[in-house]
Amino acid sequence: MSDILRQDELVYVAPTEAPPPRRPPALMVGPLGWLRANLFSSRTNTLLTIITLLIVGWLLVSTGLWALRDAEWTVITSNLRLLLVGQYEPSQLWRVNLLALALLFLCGISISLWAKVTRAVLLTLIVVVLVMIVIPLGAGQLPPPSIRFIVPPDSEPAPLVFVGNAGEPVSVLVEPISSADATAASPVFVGFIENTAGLSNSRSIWNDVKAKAASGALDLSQYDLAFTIKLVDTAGETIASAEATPENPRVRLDAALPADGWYGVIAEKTDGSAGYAWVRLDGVQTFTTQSGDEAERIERYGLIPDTICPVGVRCRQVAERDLRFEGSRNLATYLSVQLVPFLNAVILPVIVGALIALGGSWLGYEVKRRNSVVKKTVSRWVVLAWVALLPVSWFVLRGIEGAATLPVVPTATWGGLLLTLVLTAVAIVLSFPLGVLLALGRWSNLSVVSGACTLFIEVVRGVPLITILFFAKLVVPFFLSASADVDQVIRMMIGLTLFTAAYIAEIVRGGLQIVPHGQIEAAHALGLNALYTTRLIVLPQALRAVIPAIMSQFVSLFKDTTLVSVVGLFELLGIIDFIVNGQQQYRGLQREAYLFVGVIYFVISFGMSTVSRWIEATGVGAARR
Amino acid sequence: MNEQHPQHFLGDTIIECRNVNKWFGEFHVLKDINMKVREREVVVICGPSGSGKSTLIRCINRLEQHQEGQIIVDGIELTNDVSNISAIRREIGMVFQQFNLFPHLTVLENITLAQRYVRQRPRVQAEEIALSLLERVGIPEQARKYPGQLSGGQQQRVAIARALAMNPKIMLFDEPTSALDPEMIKEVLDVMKELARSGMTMLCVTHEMGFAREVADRIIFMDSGRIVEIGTPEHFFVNPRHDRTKLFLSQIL
Amino acid sequence: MFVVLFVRPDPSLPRPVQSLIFGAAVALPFVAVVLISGLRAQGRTGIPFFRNVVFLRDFVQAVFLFVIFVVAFTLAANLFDNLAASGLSINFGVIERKFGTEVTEGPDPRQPLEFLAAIPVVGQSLAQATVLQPDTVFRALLVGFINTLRVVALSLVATTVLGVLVGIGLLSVNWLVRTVSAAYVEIFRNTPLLVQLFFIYGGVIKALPSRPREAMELPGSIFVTGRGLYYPAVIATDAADIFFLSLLLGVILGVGLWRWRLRLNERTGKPAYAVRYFLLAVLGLGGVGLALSLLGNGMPFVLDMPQVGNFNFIGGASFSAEYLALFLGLTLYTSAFVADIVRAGIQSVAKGQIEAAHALGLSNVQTLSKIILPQALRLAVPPLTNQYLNLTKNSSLGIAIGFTDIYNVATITYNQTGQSVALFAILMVVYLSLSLLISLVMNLFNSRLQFKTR
Repeated sequence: MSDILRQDELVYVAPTEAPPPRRPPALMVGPLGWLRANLFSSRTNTLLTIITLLIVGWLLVSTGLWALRDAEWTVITSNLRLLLVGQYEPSQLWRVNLLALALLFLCGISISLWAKVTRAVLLTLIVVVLVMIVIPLGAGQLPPPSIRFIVPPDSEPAPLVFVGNAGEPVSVLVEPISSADATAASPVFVGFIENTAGLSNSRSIWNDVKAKAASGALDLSQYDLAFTIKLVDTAGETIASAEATPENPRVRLDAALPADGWYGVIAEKTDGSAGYAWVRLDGVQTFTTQSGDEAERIERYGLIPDTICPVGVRCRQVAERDLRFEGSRNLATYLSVQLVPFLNAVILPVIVGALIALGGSWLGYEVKRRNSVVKKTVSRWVVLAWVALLPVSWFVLRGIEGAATLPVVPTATWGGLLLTLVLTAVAIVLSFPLGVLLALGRWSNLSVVSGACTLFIEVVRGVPLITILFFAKLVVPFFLSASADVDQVIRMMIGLTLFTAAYIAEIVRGGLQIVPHGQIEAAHALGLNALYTTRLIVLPQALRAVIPAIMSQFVSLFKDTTLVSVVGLFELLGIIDFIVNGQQQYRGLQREAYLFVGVIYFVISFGMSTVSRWIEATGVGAARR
Repeated sequence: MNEQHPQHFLGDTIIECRNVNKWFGEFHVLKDINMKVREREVVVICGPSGSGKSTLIRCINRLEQHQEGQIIVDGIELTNDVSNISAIRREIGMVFQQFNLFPHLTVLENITLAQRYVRQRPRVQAEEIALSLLERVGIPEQARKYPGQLSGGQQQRVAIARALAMNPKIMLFDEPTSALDPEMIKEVLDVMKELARSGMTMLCVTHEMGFAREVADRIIFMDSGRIVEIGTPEHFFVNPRHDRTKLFLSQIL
Repeated sequence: MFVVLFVRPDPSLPRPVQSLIFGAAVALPFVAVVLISGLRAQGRTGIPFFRNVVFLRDFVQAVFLFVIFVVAFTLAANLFDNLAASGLSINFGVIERKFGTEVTEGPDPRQPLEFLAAIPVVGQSLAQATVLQPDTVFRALLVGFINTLRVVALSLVATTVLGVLVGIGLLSVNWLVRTVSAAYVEIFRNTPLLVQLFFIYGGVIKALPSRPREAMELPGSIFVTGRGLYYPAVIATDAADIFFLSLLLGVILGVGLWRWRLRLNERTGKPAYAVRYFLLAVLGLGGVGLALSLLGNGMPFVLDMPQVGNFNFIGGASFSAEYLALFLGLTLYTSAFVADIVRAGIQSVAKGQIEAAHALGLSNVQTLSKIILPQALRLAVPPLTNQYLNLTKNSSLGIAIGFTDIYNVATITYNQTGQSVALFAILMVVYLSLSLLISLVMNLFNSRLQFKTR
């Protein structure tokens, strides 16, 4: 303490022993400190935090609730094949699968050879696959949701038809139209609502019932219908029946289905009294849980027989797609109906794919551990494989004329994600050398060459891509001799390639300008001619400098493939647009469709950007030995 | 009265630090700093890198914020109060290691900007002051040029002129010559010496021991965040008392 | 170059041979010139012409010329042959034909241009031109162009504002704001514009009820339906003259006051408050004008509120659903890129600058406006130009949702007439000019901002 007094004077000497270290005040560090510094450091900051929390919270919660409760994801799950490969000949899909597996294998081995596979990445992969296996297994134990349909007082309800398999237990219950929490204004139910009045969707039915209840035309506590409930098989024979009367409103039918095929539930009224009744059908698997495709269903079970659904009667099929319903959808139902079928459909490919990728990865890891000669040879083979992948894929996908094992699958049938990826890959591979050539041409001293290249680049960059694509589609055939009938897809590839090449040329030009002029002078002084200088000195430096910009242009190209949908091709966006706007049963599901597609694009795009940032960080030029 | 400079009388305490402590996260960067600077005094702070010297003087004009203790400048305590901070900053001029001139303005505009918008002087008056200061630091002919067109030494002199144009009572220097080529250090040090002789209160962080010996009234030696020794140049260089000081001086002299 | 016009290789020869002949004929003069000068140089300096650097360079160019013309001839000849075979021809007269289809946005191309008759001589002779008659393709293209401008102009402004806000948010002290901004940028950057357009148009706007009775009403009598946004139109009455006059006077006075205050600040150092004086003048004189017109002739403006009708709104002005969707899509998408550019620009200003400004006593606002922004703009202007150009070109995607911009109109015309080449040429000219205009303006801005260095 005496030391402090002495600091008033000119001279001070500290004690030899350093004072003990002290921790900062509590509010500075740790989670509290972080909160205070980052979120609540001043009045405006606190206000901002609160407002942002409210807005973002509301957005997230309402979107989440919509996605889980109200959204109909069958538009995706039922059309998975269309979305992934378009109308590619189904019997030849093994070729696409083969290529996909080869790609995964190459990815796995490349990552192992040339990068560090962190434990976090592996762990995430394993966890994801496990989750995808466990959920269907668990949800498989959940009972299928109930189907409810209304028996109205003023008309005969049409038969409810469904598909069943031998041995499946089915029960039919008749119950009054109420539940514990219901009031006249807001009856509540859980489950699916069938379309009873021919109304366009169940929201209208529901509104109808609610309106009638509110106006008093529907007395929820009254039940005075008398009708017979019958379960009939494909031949029209009654398997089980029960009679519901006003005195005995609750009846139950239990049956085990004798064989695979169509069945119907028919309600025949014995008198026309007022009131409503619910009929609840349990144990029926919706189509979404069995198979996704109408074509598959028809193939397996045939068409709806006349015996159950007479000609001219508009029968109700149990869930060609999930119908919307009101009230709360519990998580179990959601899982079993929406998610599980999707997972069931994709789990096998995912597992196989993951195994192959891991296998390749393991192989790469083993090779890396061996001596460098083996590593160099294998590296060279892998690079060759990547280079050969594109032309080989083209021939495998397209097929060769006259080949028995690889019949031609016309590119007009390609669609979905397959088409998107093919367009992107081809455009990337072709536009890069073309772009570099254009840039070198623009940069050269020869005025004719430079002028021509500049003209091409500026014109192509000045017009929107869609104009170029239309131009490619319409005008390219005119430029080639009349006998050449160029594929639509190839025309699009030409358009995309030319467009991207112009942008790449601009980017590379920037890189060429960055190379210090002294480098070129030194090269010339050493006696290297123009060709060598460019190839050995200028280009490597220029390209290395602009790799991030080039990668971002490729990501842009991937997103721009969506424009071919405006020109009439059915890549990923085009095909979902067709499904949602073209097919009656999926009308009104735009939000689900575009959101899903948007998420796919986002994931791939974001992934590509991350990879490019990773390449940039690790310095690919040096690593490419 | 000061032995070094009998021609100017040291005034009252104008900067006072009482038990100042600062942490960067968990790292305790300023430990129980207690010191005083009097008016017209020239104080040099030296020490090994990482000792907290720059942090200390940056705390004084609130470029960094201290967590414990008090800093009092010309009777005004440095708190979170915005008016206190502005008042203190008006009294203090700062010269940085990296000059930090505004590259999009000419030299003259660099010097007149703050005069016009903080001191609210008319443009003509601000320019007169700027030109006279440029003369004082020896480069009046560079007035219309841009900082990118000047050498490092010239830029730092402009930075000194820019700070002086605000008529501060105190000048803080944060290693002003560390980013300069050797031949330009002298011209900047000459300006600083002239400034000291004219009676400006100066608090300098520097490695230039020659400057310190010639001009400083006191030298503060810091190590690892605490003040180890304070002394006049005679005591400090000739007869250092703390072991750490002796070690430091043996390494640099 | 006249050679091009006169050389017609024998059509009976196979096409490749024709092209080679053509190319050779065009390139031959150049080769001859180059050869002669090479030989003369040889005579003068003794360097054999085939080793002469100058000769080699020119010779390569001549060869390149040869190649270009061979290719051009092949393509052009094919084009003309195929056009002839399919009965079409490149006919720019397509713009005089009747358009016929209804243009759903913007001014109606079927109305005669009455304002032209008011302009003496020039206007009246223009009014006679065939292309400007009602319902020609040219008029339709013009309307399409106006629609493009409408959506691009508003979108550019909105994008800049939103982009700057989000860009500043990316650098905020507040972690939450930073994260939300970063999420916004990543989401809207990585999703294709077309997907966003479809989502906004099909999933959001079209999902709204389209009957006026069910419309969502916002304060101020603004209605949002599935068909668009309806808002009150402001119509100037006869009494508006005085009001406009006084407003104009107010602006003039305001500008004068602004300059006076700036000079006062220079002379005496007192704060200028130029903006306040300007606003005072404009609002003051505007208020006086309003009062005068009220006293004299009545309200200068009438609000035409949209009334809820059975099938549509009666009165008021509207933004169509297509316009709204395109505007929102373009703005949200491009602003994500602009935000990142703004962030990079602000971050490029060295931290020491801000410290120096604070040490000098400049306030946060003064530091931002005088130190940070000028320097940030330097870095940001070229990539910003790029984004503005992209926005202009992306407006052509309106065709996917039915917005009748110039691209859509051109496509409709093509579908009617088959004149793809002519229309494509017109489109190219339009978009290139727009791009050129924007580039010019931004480059002017850019060159004024550069630093001067040694």
